Amino acid sequence: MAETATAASASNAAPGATPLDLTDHVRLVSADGFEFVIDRKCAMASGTIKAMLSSPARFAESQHNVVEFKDIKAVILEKVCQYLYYKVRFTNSSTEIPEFPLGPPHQLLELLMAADFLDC
Amino acid sequence: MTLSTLTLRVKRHKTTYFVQCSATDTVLALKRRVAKLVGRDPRDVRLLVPKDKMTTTVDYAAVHAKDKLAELEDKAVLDQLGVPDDAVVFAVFWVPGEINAAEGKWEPVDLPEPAPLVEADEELSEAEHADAGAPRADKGKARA
Repeated sequence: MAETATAASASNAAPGATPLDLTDHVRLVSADGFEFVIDRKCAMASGTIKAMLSSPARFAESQHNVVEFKDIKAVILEKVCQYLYYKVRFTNSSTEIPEFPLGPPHQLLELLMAADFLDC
Repeated sequence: MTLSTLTLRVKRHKTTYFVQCSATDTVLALKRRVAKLVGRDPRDVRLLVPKDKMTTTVDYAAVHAKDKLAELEDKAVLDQLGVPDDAVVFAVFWVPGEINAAEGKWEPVDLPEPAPLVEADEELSEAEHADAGAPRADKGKARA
């Protein structure tokens, strides 16, 4: 796991004038304007994000590595990001997989809807 | 191999950077990763954590109160500091002085709180509303 992380940072191009001019990270923006910068590999664990970023020129997102979610609030989007890391870490893992903390009950419905939309 | 990878959330203003590093990394190594993400020099990045205990949640009141945050020293090792996985770390950047670049100062920690979710009761009626024809969940994907 640590190797993957160091490989990811080693392969970064020199940072450009605009922050986050990196191809191995993706910026997800919530409805209330909060941003979450995550590993591209983890972003791809969401079928929807993967489709948005992979389609050549079909989505504007594929060009800037930024995806905006006008319907998902920051609290939920953060939980989703944490889940994507959890998913990548424990997929095909032989070690014991801990339970993912879903958070307080009042949040579950929106979290479920976001997960459905994001296909993850 | 029993390398323990930490996934930390580095927060500054409205952005959260998910940064992965090893528990045996130093704070400086973490700073370098953050600096790379934002296109700055690691020396211009300062990382802070709550003084009492590092947590995986953010206490917004504590963040803005004075003296509740401690700076992480470059040489310290994350494992020895007891940084838990999924911990929240706050970052501030150095702002060079306008007249004299050498005379600058560190930004204050400023973390806006995200919009709270609605109460459970209202949430149910919101969900019914959403079901009744909002285009959101469709996007052309047919679900059996």
